[in-house]
Amino acid sequence: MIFELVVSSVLLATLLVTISQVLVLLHRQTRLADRRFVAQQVLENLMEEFSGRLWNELSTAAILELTLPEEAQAKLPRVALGGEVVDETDPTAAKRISLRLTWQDFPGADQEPLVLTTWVFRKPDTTP
Amino acid sequence: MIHRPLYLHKLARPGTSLVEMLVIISISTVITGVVIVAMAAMFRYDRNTSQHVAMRGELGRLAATVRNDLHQAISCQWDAPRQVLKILQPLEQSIEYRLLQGRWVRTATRGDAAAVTTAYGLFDSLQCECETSGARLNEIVRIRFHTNSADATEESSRANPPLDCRVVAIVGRDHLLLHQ
Repeated sequence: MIFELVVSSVLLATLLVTISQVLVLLHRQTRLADRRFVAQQVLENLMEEFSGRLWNELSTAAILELTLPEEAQAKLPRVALGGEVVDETDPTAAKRISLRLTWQDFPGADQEPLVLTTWVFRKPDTTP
Repeated sequence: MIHRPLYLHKLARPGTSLVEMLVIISISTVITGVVIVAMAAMFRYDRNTSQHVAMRGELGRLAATVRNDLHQAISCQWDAPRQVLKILQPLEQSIEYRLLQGRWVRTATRGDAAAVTTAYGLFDSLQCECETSGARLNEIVRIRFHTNSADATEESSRANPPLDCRVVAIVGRDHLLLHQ
């Protein structure tokens, strides 16, 4: 009888541990996906505002002055914003804007990067 | 008197007592109960997660569509009490977003002739807020879609995390392709 009791306990413990691990894993994946969704929305909104600026105001230094919205700071741990503006001339005068959002899902994890890039083009009669 | 053969004596094993049977049955009952509860929790979690992911996808699609519509617009108006967002576009085309029976419905109309309707569903309590009541060409519109998390309990929030999505769009951006 003791033997059956021990085997049942081991089976029960294994089952509970497995199920709890699966639940924790699913919950973590859902949370990570939620954070990525938030990061996408934040980056799209920042890009919308930044790329709508005047031509001369588009620079890498201006990206560093951007402030992250409160929701990003609340929902994305250790979030940081970076990026660059690169002048391009081929096929026409343009600026390539890249915004990069990084955050750390949990302590010790690699920084998750999310990069959004767009191009803006200058009117021909605009002086540089 | 009946004498058993010798080989039967060697093979004879003590039978299972009633107490042992009861113990085993009770252990099996406990294990079955725990497994059923755990499986039910898994199925419930799976259902909630599926619904949450589907709603998040729909919300992302709705946000992208609103932004695209605003990019092609010449002005927009937000009616807060009725929760209606009206977007005016060139060639007498207008687009209206309204909450209808738990779904955000997008209705595109050109003149009085035709209407195309698209529904974005699965939202029980999705609300919309707009910072301004209206915007014209080249102005920024900030819209926030969110589920009502004020009434939600901690348990329901854990089961169905509140959704929150903000849309920033420049009205008529597609008409201003080149930078000044």
